[in-house]
Amino acid sequence: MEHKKYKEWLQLVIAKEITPDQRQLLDTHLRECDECRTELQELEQLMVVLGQRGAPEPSGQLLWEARRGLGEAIRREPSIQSVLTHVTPGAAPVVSKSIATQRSSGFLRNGLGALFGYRIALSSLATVVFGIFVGYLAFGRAGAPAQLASVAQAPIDPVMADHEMGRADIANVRFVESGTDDGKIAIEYDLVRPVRLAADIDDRRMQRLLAYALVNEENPGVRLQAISELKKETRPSPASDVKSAMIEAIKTDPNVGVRRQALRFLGTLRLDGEIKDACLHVLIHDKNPGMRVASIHLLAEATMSGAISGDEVYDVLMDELKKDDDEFLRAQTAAFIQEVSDVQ
Amino acid sequence: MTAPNVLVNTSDKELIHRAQGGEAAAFEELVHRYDQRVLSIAASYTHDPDDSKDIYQEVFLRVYRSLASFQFRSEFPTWIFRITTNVCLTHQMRRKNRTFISLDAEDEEQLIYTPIAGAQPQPASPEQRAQNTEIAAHIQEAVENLSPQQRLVFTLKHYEGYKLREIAVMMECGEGTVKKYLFTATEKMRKRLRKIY
Repeated sequence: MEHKKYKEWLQLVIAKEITPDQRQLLDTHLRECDECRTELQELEQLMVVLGQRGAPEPSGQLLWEARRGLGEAIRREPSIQSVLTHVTPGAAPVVSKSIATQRSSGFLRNGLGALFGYRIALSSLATVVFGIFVGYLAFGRAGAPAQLASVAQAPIDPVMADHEMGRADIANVRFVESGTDDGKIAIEYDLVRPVRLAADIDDRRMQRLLAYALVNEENPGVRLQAISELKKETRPSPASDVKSAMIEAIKTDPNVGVRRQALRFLGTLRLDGEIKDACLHVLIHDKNPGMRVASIHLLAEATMSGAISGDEVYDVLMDELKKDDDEFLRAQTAAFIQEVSDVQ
Repeated sequence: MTAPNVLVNTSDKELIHRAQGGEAAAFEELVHRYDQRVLSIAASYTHDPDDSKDIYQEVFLRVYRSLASFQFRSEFPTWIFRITTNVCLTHQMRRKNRTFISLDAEDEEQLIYTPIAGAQPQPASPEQRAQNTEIAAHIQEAVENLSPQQRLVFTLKHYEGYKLREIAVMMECGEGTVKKYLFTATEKMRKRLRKIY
C-alpha cells in the first residue's frame, strides 16, 4: 500500500472516521514507521490545542442582534414591500404597490417595525407618525387581497428644514447604486431625530412606543422599564402590539430578567393560543430552568381554569419529562401532567 | 372553530407550506428552528461576531427570497445548510488579514469559546491565560491562511462536529473532495502550529 494512504488514515484517526479495518492495518504500519508515529502524535497534540481553545459559540446577545438585524433587512427587501399583480380579464397586468398587515408577532413584524424607530417625526401639532408594519409575504399569492395597515400620518419627506423638525442626525448610509452609465448614484439613509413624548400609559402612542422599545432597545434596563410602565395600563386587555411585543420578548430577549417580567405580564392576561404557543416555546427552548418552571405554572393555571385543555400541551410536556436535564423541572412537569390527568 | 396551532409541534413541511402561503409566524418558527446552528457555523468559520451576523442575515434573506420556489427535493435543513456553506465561502470578511484575536471586550462576550468535550480545562493562572491568548492568536492566524474551502471543511469537521459525508452534502461535492480539503487544511495547521506544541 502506498505510504500516502497511511498518512491519510492518520487524519481519519483524529477525525474519528477511520473504519476498524483501516485502523487495524494502520496499527500494523505504525509499529514499523517512525515518521507516521511522530506525525500521529503531532496531529493528536494539534487536536488538544484546538480543543482547549474550543469552538466559538454565539452568545444570546449575538443571536438577538442577528434576529433583529434580519427583521430590519427583510423590511428593506423590495420583494416584500411591493408587488401584487392585478390581472383584469382582457387587460395587461398592472403591477401596483400594496401593503398589508402582518398576521402575527415576532422579530419579522418588529423588525419591520424598525421602520417605526427610524422614521418617527413630530409635526408642529405634535402628532406622532407611526411606522407602517409592512409585511406582505410575496410567496406566490398572486391576486390575494391586500389589507391596508392604518397610517396615522403621511410619509416623511426626508429633505426637511432643520427648524421644522429639530436637529436631525443622519445614520446608516447605504449605497444602493453607483457607477451607473449616467453617473448618478443612489443612497439610502436614516434620519434620526430626538423626539419627546409625554403622555399617560393609556395613550396608544405611548403604548406603541414602549412596545417598540421592549423589542428593539439595546439597554435591558430600558426594556425592563418599558414592561414596568405597560403593566400600569388601566384597560383590561392590552393592545395587540403590546401583547405581541411581550411574546417576542419572552421568546428572544437575551436578558432573563426581561423574559421573566414579560412572562409575568402575559400571566395576567387570559391565556389564548398565542400565549400558549409562547409558553410552550419557552418550555422547549429557554435555557433558564426558572423560565421553564414559570411557563409550566402558567400552563397549569390555564388548564385548571379551563382556558386550555390538557390535550393541547400534553405531547410537549411528555417530551419535556423525558428530555429536560433539570430534576426539579421534571418533577414540576410530572406533577402538572398528573393534575391534568386527574381533571380529565 | 379550528384550535390554535402549536407551531412548535408543526413539521417543517407544514411550516414551509404555510410560510409560502404568507404566514409570517410560520417563517419565523422555521428561522427559530435552525438559526442558532446557522449562526454557530458562521461564528466557527469567521471567529468574528459582525461577520457572523452578516452571514446569518444573508443566509436567511436567501431562504426568504427562495422559499416560494422550494420544492422539497431535499430536506429543509439540508437546503439551509447548503446555503450557509455557500454564503460562508463567498463572504468577504470585514477584517481581512487579521492576525490577532480581537481584544475588543465586546467581541469576546459575543462569542463564547467553550473547550471541546474531552479537552483539558483551561488553567486559571494569569500567566497561563496570557499564554492561551497568544496560542489563540496563532490558531486564528493559521485558520485565516487556509483557503475558504479548506477553512470551511476544517471548521465544520473539527469545530462543529459534522461527519465528512454530511459536509459533502452541504458543500454539494464528493466525499473525496471534502477529504482532500480536510487533509490539506489539517496538514497546514499542523505545520504552522508546530512551534506551539
